[in-house]
Amino acid sequence: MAFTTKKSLLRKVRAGDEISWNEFYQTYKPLILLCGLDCSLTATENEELVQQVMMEIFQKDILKNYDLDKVPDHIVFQFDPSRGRFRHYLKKIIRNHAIKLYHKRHDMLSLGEMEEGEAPAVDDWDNQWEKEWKRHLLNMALFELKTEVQPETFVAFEMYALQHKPVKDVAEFLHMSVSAVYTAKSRCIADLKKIIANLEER
Amino acid sequence: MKHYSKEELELYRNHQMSVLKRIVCAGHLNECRICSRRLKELEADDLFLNELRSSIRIFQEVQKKKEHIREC
Repeated sequence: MAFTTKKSLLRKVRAGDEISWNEFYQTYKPLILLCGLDCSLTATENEELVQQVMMEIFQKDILKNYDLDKVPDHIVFQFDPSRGRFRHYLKKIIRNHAIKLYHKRHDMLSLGEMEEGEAPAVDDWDNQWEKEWKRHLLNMALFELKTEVQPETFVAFEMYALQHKPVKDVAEFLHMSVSAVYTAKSRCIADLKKIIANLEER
Repeated sequence: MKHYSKEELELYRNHQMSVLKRIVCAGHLNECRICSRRLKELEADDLFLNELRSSIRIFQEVQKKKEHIREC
């Protein structure tokens, strides 16, 4: 997926613009999966969670017609900003479906057959959600950053700060000074913090 | 008083300054609030980067896990 798509998606959600299934699916699937894992859902239940959340958000009976990974772009979702903040809206939907799936499994099992792991209590879930949302924001911010800085600045940051390559190797590889690598790192961190602050307002 | 830039402080904390420059820088940091605050900011950046790396890794793992399940 193009990095520009990620950027436009976040802006479009806030603006109440139309969001394609694919944009939304690719961007939010990891977050939904992580929330499912936090609720001790199995791999199969987690797949179901993604499907159910997507179905509720898009309010369309798409599953019968398409593979989730191959839904055409004309299938769109439009967030109504009057519903409040998108993160709260999404959190509620994920949580409700995760709890339903968890209970569905436990209804099918007798107490003696209960599996390992327990669904977190509401407070725990709220804390977990905040953690997962923060991780999601960090990932999104990184995508946005890539579109906002010069490619060599981003590569220097990626190699040195994210991949932990020795600063001298990065400088040599990119034909820049060590000091310029440090500048790239500082610049990217400052930009990332601004992007995150901006995303948190949405 | 001349202050150290973030880049110079990176050189200092990553042991990439000459011994003499390092001694001078350490002495300056003992007295200069601006530069010692700047050094602390770099340490805070390290924590931020740890969080960022961890988030990237976790998101990549969950994606890989899903792809693996699909392949199975």
